[in-house]
Amino acid sequence: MNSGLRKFALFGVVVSIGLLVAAWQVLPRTSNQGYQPEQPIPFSHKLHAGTFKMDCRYCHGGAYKSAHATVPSVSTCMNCHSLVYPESPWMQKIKKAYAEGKPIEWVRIHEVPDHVHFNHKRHVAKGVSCETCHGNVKEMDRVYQAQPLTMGWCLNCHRGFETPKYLRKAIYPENPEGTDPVAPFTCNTCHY
Amino acid sequence: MELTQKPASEMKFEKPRHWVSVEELKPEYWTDEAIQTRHAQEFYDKPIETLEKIEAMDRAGVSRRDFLTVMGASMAMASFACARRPVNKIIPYVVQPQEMTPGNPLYFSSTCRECANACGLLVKTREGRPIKLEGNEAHPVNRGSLCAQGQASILNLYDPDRLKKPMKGDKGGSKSSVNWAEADALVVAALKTAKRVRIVSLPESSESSRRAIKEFMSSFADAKWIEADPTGLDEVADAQNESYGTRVIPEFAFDRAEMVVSIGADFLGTWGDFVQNAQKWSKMRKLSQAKDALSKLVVFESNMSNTGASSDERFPILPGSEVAVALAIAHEMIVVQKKGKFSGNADVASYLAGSFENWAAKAGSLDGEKVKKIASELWEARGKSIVVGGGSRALQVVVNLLNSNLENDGKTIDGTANVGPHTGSMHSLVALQSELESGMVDVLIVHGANPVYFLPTGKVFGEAMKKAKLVVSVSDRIDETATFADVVLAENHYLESWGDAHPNASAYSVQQPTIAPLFDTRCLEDVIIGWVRGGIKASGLLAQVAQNPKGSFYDFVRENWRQTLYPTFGKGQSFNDFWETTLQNGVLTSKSGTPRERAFKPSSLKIAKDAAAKIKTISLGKKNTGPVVEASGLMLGLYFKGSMGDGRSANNAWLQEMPDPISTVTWDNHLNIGPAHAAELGIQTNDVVLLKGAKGSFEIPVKVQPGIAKGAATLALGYGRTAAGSVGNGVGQNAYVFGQLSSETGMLYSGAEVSITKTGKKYQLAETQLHHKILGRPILNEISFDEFKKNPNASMETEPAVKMDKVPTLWSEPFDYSKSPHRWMLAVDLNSCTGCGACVVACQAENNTPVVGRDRVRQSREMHWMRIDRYYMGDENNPTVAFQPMMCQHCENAPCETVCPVVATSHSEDGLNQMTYSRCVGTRYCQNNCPYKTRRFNFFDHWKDVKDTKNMVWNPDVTVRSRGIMEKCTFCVQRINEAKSKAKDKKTSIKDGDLKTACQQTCPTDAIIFGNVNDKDSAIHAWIKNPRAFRSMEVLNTRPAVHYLTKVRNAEGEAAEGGAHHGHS
Repeated sequence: MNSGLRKFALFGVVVSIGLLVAAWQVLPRTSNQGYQPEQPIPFSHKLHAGTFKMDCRYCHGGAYKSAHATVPSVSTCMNCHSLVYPESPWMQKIKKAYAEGKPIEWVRIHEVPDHVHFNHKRHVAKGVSCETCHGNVKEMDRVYQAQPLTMGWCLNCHRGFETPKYLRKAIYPENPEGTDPVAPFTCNTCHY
Repeated sequence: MELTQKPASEMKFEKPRHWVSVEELKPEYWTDEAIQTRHAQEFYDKPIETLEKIEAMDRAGVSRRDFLTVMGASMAMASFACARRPVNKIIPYVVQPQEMTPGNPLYFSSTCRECANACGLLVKTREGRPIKLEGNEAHPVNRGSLCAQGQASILNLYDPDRLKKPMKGDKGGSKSSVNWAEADALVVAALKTAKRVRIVSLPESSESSRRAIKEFMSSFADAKWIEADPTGLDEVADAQNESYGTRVIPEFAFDRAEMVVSIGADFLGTWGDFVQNAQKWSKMRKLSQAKDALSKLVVFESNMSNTGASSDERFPILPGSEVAVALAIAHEMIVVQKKGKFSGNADVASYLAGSFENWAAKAGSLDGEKVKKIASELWEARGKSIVVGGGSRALQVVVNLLNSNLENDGKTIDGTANVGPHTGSMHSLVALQSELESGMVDVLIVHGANPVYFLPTGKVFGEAMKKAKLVVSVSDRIDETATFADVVLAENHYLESWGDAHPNASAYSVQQPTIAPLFDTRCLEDVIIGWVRGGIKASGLLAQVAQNPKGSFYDFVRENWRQTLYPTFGKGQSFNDFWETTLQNGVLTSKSGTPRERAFKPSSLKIAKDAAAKIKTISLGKKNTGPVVEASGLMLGLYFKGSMGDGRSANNAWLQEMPDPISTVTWDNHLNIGPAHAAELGIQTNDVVLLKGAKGSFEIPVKVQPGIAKGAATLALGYGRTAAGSVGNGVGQNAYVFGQLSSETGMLYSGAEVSITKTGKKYQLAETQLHHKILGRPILNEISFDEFKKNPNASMETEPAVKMDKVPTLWSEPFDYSKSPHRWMLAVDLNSCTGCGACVVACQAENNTPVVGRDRVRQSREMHWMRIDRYYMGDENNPTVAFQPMMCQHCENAPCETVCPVVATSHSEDGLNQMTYSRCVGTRYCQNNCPYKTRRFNFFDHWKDVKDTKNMVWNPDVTVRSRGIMEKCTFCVQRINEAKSKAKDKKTSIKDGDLKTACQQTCPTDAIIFGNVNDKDSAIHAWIKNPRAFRSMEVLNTRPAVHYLTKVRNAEGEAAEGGAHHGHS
């Protein structure tokens, strides 16, 4: 092999590796795991759900009756905070929003693409705990995305590969050790 | 079965049995090299012009390679741009309404006000936005169905071209926006001194609105209210008045009629209460065993309509000769055969005097024997038949005579039940026009009606409007008439307003708003209340409501119901309870009384005799001067289309793009000429001709339409709007100029004499009939009723259903669906499908299907998930027609699935062919391999064309597809999943009827059934076991989930006549 060709081959390899690294850096991530944006009001889930042991569904009432878990309306905050810490600057913001009728714009953390239809109600009804997908929110001062929420991750549970023990027990009480699928996994369960 | 193909030279041409256009009947179509070359191309449907354009582009240097370079660069850019996920916001309510959970739909009952028929609605709303209209099953007018226009009317709500504020300006000049206070002050000032006030509106079917308008009018010395509707059945009501003494629109019991004869009335498509008519008619078209009855439909018509296409026997006649046909039948039955109670009546005999030959000649060329036979068949079915007519008052009185003579009146025709308040009188506009011209009108209020557009003398009317002191238009846009107004008051959409409707004697329905007005708009009645509050005197309830500073039309409707309906219907409950229950049900129904027979007045027949004498016997002329061909003496028939109607919703893109059921043309109207006449004149489809009549002329493309008599030309109304909005302006030509309006006859749409001159220009109509072609493969079955009675399985034994055991297969054993909880299947009864197209629009609304526009339809890139294929059979000058709704067949052995390189389309265990958008890379192999041609490819990001308020109509349960993605019918999988979820909530399984696809839900004739065949008690299970059930192109062994039920025609011989199924066998 002559040196010119060798040089060319080497150059090719270097460029290819470079391109791969560049692609890794710039191409979109399929998962947003670990995403922890700042919210307009530093609401602490650790305080509300952890310390005060408030039920998730008090604020996220849609979780058991709709596809969306829903983020609480300002009036839900006011249920308590018209009396609790009304003077805090964040509560002033809430009060102002309530008085002016202007909603708070929260930053969305957990999001599946538009072509995926995820239904909270079905999962909650089946006994999937909030923590299974959302992590230990009770410990989170500022909420972040704990799980990858990718299709592979969804399917690992649906097909029974990595189904949490408690869930398998709830679904197949007679055979908690099996590896059968626990939920449908045809495409149009989620994609339509 | 022959599986080898003979070389082209050895093939003998045989006419295909099912054909879609006249071109296919010529041998050249199957042998011509240029045409064959186009067929061999992957997308041969592409019109030649476009291919030429592409070649030109190639020559100009924009080569494929350049294209790839540019695309590569833009893809790289796109990747960089997406490196960070966009930050999305969640914006919850400030105070969430109690009844509402985001993500769950809420349904409200309301009333469709798109036309005067006033169908009941169930409005699906998501997060406060109405997103889909469905019929209210409790409503006696439509019983759950809706027509295409009703389905599409939700898009009008979100029309960005709607007026956002009141406007004022010069009559015929420019206008600027003002606030309501200023606009009202202007009007009130004029009304205070006004003596002569005229109101023009569409027929008002709301009792509350009628009361409000009348109470408003009571304060003026001389106030008149003119209701006019171009689609209204004025002539029916007038003729009923002349024959029986009451001005009513009778109710027709098509569900009890064993024989129906229609003379020019498209009663299944556009005429009268067509949704109800079709529903009732279809009850007599369902067949499952040999002993079942089948009604017979005979149609005499000039244009090929849905009714004619669904008929068992059809006679093409000349436009304007309808009365001659009716007289010929009446003469035969009453005078010649001496049947019925009028047979000895000297008056009747004198009015019917004439000769059959004379009438037949005026109608074109009628087959005397056949017409005579129809007269005797009608007599056999007396008391159980219906004769309907569409056209002049002269025709209607003969129709009345026939029905009375046949003892149908009081049995299948109920002239005592229908109050018919929704009929206007177009002819009153003639008087109004002369009043306006004399300058005596102080204030003219126009609401809903658009006389400048729909009057033959529209321009003159517009000029006359300038002489009124003040013209107020209450309209949702500055339409043709509002252009001539001083003040245009922005009007609500009906889904934003309160109201009610009294569509017939037995129904009172409520119109409930489902969204707050999107813009600064008001409904007419609230506008009037505002004027009364501003100082105009009024009487009664109107004054009372206006006195309350917060009183609105809602209070008026409520109070009106309390006074008028609550005492009868609300016995034993408080008014609030009564009102709440009615709102929930959407409608109040009372038992209609038993029909009574009425006495027919023979003297009313005089106008028929006179009218028939006036019909000119056609004399066709032809003049050749060089290449220019001029044909004169044609009779023009104007017709309404199921999509466009009278043109009031011309700005609705769903309706514009809905293929016409017969011509399959979108986005234009066209002059229909019969094949024989067209061949004689050397005119072909897409030739532009100059159409000249006594009152106007314009250039218009021709469509060669099978089933149109020689000497007849037909043209659709509702096009050629100039002030409809960005979608509807300049689409087609305004055919109203050829209407004939006089105060004696009312509006006549057919019988104008015209001439056509070939211009040599070409205009490519955006027709879909040659797209997605089946190329002569056996696709549908139809047999005659005689054959069916002898052997209900007969259709299975004809060639189209080649049995699978005769064909070698490469497929493995089919999947065993019996173990799945569900096996979804859909069946379509070809016998009751009238091709109306409501399902096409319902599917579009449900599934976020984009509109692509005229040019892309020309390139066969329309996106409709379901289409209605229309096949002709037999003689091209009078073919029989079959409609076949075609959607993804969800084949068990799906050809699309095997060719997808990325498994983007696959099969679910409940029998669905699933399309996973996120996997699709857009190779289009699946589309190419689909024998049914039901897959649609997104060549563009169509969602980017959906701007402003139009974005609110999206169904959030269905993914909006982006560029490069294949899509197709999903069997409404979002509805299946919703039904599954609901069933799981109740810890049960899905019951038959819990779940309807969008197309099935809206179908007026119940021609579509969807369900789980694993449930042995389901309707779908019964349908696929019906002896008529077959699967399309079974020979391919695709094993579709969609079944069709053979069309059975109640005619002798013809329908079953054999013939080649392949154009080149």
